[in-house]
Amino acid sequence: MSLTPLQLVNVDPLFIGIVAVYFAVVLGIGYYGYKTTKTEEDFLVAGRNVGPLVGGATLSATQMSAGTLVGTFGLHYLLGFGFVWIWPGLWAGWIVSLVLVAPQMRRFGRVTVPDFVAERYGDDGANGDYSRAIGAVLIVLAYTVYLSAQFTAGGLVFQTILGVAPEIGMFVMVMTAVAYTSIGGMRASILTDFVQAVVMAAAVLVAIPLSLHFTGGIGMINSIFQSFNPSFVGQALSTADIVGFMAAFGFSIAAAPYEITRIYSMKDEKTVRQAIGITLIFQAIIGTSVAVLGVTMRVLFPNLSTPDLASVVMSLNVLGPILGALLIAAVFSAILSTVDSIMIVSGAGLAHDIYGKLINTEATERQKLWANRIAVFVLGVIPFILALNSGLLGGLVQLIVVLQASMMGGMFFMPLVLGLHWKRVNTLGGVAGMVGGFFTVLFWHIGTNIYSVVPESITAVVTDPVIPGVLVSLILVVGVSLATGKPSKGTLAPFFEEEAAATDGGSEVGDE
Amino acid sequence: MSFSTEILTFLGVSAIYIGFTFVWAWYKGKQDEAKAAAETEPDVDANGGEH
Repeated sequence: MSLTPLQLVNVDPLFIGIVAVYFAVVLGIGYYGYKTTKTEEDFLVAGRNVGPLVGGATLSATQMSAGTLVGTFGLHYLLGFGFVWIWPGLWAGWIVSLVLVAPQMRRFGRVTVPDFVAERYGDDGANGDYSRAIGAVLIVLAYTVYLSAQFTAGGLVFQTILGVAPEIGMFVMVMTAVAYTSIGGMRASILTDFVQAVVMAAAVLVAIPLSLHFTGGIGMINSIFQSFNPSFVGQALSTADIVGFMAAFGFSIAAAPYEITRIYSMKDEKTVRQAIGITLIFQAIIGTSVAVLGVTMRVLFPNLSTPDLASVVMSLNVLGPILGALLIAAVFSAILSTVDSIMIVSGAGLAHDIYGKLINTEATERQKLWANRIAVFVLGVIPFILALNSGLLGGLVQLIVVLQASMMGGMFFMPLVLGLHWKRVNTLGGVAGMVGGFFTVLFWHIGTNIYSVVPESITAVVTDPVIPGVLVSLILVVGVSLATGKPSKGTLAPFFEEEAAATDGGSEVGDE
Repeated sequence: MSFSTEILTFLGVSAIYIGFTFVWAWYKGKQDEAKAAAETEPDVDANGGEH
């Protein structure tokens, strides 16, 4: 049986109604966020009073994007259950974050990752302004790519459900996300994330018994694939493939600016640690469910025109109007919850870091608040234009997501982890690590995926650009720091207790 | 390996990650509490407080 998107236009009105209610709830939360947001800090970190359950949910919803319910679902449909082992790689990133990054960043307690960069790497002759500008510009660039991938996925979902052109679907997604994010800020974003994480977990959990009923159960699926393709229900990827995905997500999660902004929003360090545990529970439920559902869809619809359609075809053809609408709402949730987080962070890069800290340092609270709202709008429209030319990025949605994750990992992992734990890292080393990591990822991707100038013997081992990116970043951070002077005590004081005590006690600020 | 065994293996690995996270959160929480208590003790002494 082969399905194409335009064959799926006869959708139950109840189905459309439930999805419409979902969008109305999301916009309603956006309005609530608008009414309770008075300052830039409200807009960017929701007053720092988020608890562990909502915090864990928002970390999950932010991380699980179109890549999870469209791309990963499709990859399970294509490759089998074995692709599920990317999750432990991703969770390795959360463990690194739990031990080395997240609680320390919450203790530091600012608003954006460039705030960290400006303070820790502030010996640039301009109190960290240059370092901040470099960090902010690179974030805006990388997240523009990521947003375009999310919009592309949104367009695909709309095309599949309604048979409309993907450009129209993308437009609806962009306008919805821009509307509730620009007016409601982080408070709206976190509350919708909580709703969205619950919708995602509930939808995929409820879908399992129904899809197993249609396929005859786990035993039947096992016997079908064991007879001609045993790897489909067992190990399906090579070790190198899995390590590549693990590296891409593992390095990027610990240093992802959109997750760190959520961490800034939580009450304290204890809340941060508990929230990371809760996010792993959400992810284990959703990851396992998506893997099982992808496999069952291969049994039910073995000849889909593209694997990215698997989750949407399941919702329309297997689950019935109510559960189907719930799963579609979950797909929209996955996309919107990531889009809103990215928009806030890239908007903050432009409004908080560049406008508020570099261009107009005397801006009033109202000016800063509206600068953030305008930045969210502008940085929603630009990736929309990029998404309309998605041939530039090519491939499945998941691969685009992986490129973005690699950029973040290559750029921030080493400067963040070493900057938080090694006093000898200085401004030149940190900035060199950021810039070098970012461009290594970018050029590696171009050299392997576009021009194929990297030999296959190398790409067979180095399967993802984040690996050379992090390696180059490590060499630059360590090498440049050791080759140049020690950092000033002023840049160390916010992060190391001894330096803070020395600075408080009137010690001379300068080289150790 | 059968499908159900593969699912159970994955759930087992997930449980290890989740268990580690909560044990670490509990351990660091206790450490933070002990540190906070140690920091407040000298203040009590300085004010002539009692143990």
